[in-house]
Amino acid sequence: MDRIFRRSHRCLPVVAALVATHSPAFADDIQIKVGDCKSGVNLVARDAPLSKVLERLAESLAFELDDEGRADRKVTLNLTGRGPELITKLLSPHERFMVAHARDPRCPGQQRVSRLWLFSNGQANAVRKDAPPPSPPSPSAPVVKRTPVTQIGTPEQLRANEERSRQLKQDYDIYVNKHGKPPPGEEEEAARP
Amino acid sequence: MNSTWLTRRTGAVVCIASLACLLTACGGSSSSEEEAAPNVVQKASCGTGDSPETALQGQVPAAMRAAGFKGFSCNLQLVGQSKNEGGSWQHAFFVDKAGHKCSYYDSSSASAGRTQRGVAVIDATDSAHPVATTFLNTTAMIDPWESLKVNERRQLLGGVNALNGNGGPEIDLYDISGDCRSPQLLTGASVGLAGTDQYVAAVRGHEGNFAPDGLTYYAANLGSGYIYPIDITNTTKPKLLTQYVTSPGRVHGLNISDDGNRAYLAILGNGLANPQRAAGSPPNNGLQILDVSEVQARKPSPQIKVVGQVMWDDGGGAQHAINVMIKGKPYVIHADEAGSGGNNAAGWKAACDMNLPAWQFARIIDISDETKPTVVSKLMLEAYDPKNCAQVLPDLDGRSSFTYGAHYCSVDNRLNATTLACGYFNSGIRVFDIRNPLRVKEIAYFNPAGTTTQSPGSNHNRTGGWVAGGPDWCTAQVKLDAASGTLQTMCQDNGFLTLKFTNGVWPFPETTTPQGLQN
Repeated sequence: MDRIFRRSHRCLPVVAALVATHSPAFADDIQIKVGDCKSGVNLVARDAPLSKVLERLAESLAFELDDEGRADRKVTLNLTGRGPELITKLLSPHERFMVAHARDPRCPGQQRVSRLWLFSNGQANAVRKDAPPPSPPSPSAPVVKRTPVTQIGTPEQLRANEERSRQLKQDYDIYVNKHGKPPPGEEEEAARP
Repeated sequence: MNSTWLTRRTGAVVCIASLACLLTACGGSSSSEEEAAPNVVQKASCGTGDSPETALQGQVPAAMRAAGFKGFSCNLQLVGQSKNEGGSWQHAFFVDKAGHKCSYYDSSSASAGRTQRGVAVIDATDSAHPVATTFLNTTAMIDPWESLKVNERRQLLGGVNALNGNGGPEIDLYDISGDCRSPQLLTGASVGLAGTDQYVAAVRGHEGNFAPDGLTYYAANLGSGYIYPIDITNTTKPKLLTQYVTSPGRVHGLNISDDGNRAYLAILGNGLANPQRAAGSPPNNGLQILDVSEVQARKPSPQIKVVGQVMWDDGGGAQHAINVMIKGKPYVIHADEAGSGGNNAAGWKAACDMNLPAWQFARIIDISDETKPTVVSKLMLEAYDPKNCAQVLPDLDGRSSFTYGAHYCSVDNRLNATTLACGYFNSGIRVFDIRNPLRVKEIAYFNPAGTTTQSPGSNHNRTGGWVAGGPDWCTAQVKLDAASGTLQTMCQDNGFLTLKFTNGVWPFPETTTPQGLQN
C-alpha cells in the first residue's frame, strides 16, 4: 500500500510539470535563464504562485520536487545564484524545506539540487488527506525507503536517453569550443587518483 | 552562452524524460522488485594440496591481513610468475604462428622507482618460466588503462592514451603477426584533429575494444561518458568516425557483436545506497545495447541508436560487458566495479544498512530479446552478501578505494561459453562453471599472497590502497587455455601469473578455447 501511495504521489509533480510546460497562462510570469557554471541561474517571477515557480525550477534544473506544503503565496522577485543557493534565497525564511544535493556533472566541483522537499508550514491547508504527516527537516536527506529494482528500459526511456545523449554531446562541444580542451570529466570514483 | 536556447532545449528534454518518468512512476515500466534473498554462488569444493579459504567465500579476514596474507588456493596452483614492477588494470594475449604464447599487461603511469614503464611483453611459451621480452613505451602504451586489447583476426595489439584514466587522443597500434614477442609499432596517431579528413572531436581514452573484424577500435571515455569509434582499416592512418555521449550513465567498458552491428556497453551509475545517487531517481547503472550498424557500414555521419537496456539498484560503477552464447542462447555477462554504496567506507556502510551488497559481482543477462535484456543470474560471493556485513567490514578498517569485489571477467569461448573466470579486488582469481547460467558453480580460485614491498608499477599504490601483506588487486582479463589446463592473468602487485587447474576440475569435456573468442 505504501508503495502504491509513493508511486501515485510521484506522478503528481510530473503531471504538473508536463501541464506547466505546455500552459501559456503563466509563461510570461516566470522566466528562468540557466547560465554557465559561473553565472548560475536567473529567476524572475511577477506575482506568480510559489508552487508554479518551483515546478518551473524543477523542470529547468532537473530536480525532483516533493511539494507537500502547497503554500501558494504569490511571489515577485528577481534572484540569481547557483541551484542550491537559489532555492535557499527563494524559500528562506518563510518555508520549511529540505534539499538533497548531488555532484553537478556539468560544473566540476559544484553541487546541483537533486531533490527538494517542501513541507507544510502550518499556514497552508492543502495537504492531501491521504498524505502521512510530514517529517521535520533534518541536516541530511532522509533515507528513502525504496525496494531495489532491476529495470528494463521502456521504449520511452530509450528515446529519452537518445535525446539526452544528443544534448550531452552538444554541451560537450560547447565546452570544448569555449575552453579549447575536453571537460575534466567526473572522477571515475572517489578513490581514483 | 545562449541561455534562452539552452533553457528551451533543457525544457524539451525534461518533458521527454518526464514522460518516461511518468510511465515509470505510474506503473508503465518493466520494473521488477528484487527477491529478498541475494544470489550467492555455490562454493568450490577443494582437493588435496590446496590452501582453502578459512572464512567466507571471497574473504581475507582481518587477522590474516595483519599477519601478512599468505594466499589461498583451490584447484588452481601457481606454476609461473613474471612480476617485473607490477601491473595496472589490463592483460591481453596472443599466440603467433610460430606458437609463441605472448601476454601483454599495462603498468601505472608512476615514474618513481621505475626502470621499465609501459606495457610489459611477456613470453609465456614456457609456462613455468614466463619472461618479459620488452616494454612498449609509446604515448598510449605508457598508460592504456583498461583499453589494452588484442584483435586476433588482424593480429593487432592496441590501446588508447588513458593516462591516469583520462588521457588524450592518441591510439597506438602494434603488429603482432610476426613474432608476438616483439610487437611492431604501426601508428601512434592522434585522432579527431581538425583538418585531417575525419570526424573532429576532442577525445580522451580510458577503456575500449576492437570490433571482431578488426576494422574499428571502439574507444571509451569514462570521465565524460562517451564512445569514439576509430576506423583502423588503414592501421597507419586511424580516423575518428563519430563521438556518442551515453545516457543515463557514463560508458565504461564495452564489447562488439561479431557482425559489428551491436555494442554492449557497461553504463556506470550509482547504486541505490550511494550517497551520490539522486534521491528517488531510477536506476542508472547497468547494461545498454546500442545499434552501431551505421558505424560498421561506414555511413557518413553515422547515427547510433539505443536498442535496449537494463539498469539495477544493487550495484554501481558498471565495468564491462561480454556478449556470449551459452548452449546456443545469447547472453551478456556484465561485471560492476562498485557495490550499491560506492567504493569507500561510508558507501559500504550505507549499503549494509540498506541490506544491499556493498561489493560488486558479475551477473548473467539473457538478451534473447535484445529490447528486453533480463538478468537471470547474479554471481555474488558469500563475503559480499549483505547478511555477512558485520563479519566482513572489520577486514577493511582503515581501507578505502577498491577492496572486495569483481572487476574483469573472461570466458573460454564466446560462441560456446562453458567457463567464466573473473579477477577480483582482494578475492583473487575465481573460475565458474556457467554451463547452466541459472545455477552457476564456482570450481576454483587462487588468491595470491600479499606483497611485503610495493611494486612501483602497480595501480594499487594509492591512498587507502596497498598495505604491506594485504591482498592483491586482480583486475585483468584472464586467458583460459584448455589444451594445457592453465590460465594466464595479471594481478597488480604480483604481476603476470600462470596457474594450472588441479584435481580434474577443468576443462570440461565440451570446453574449447579458440584464439580470438575470449573477449
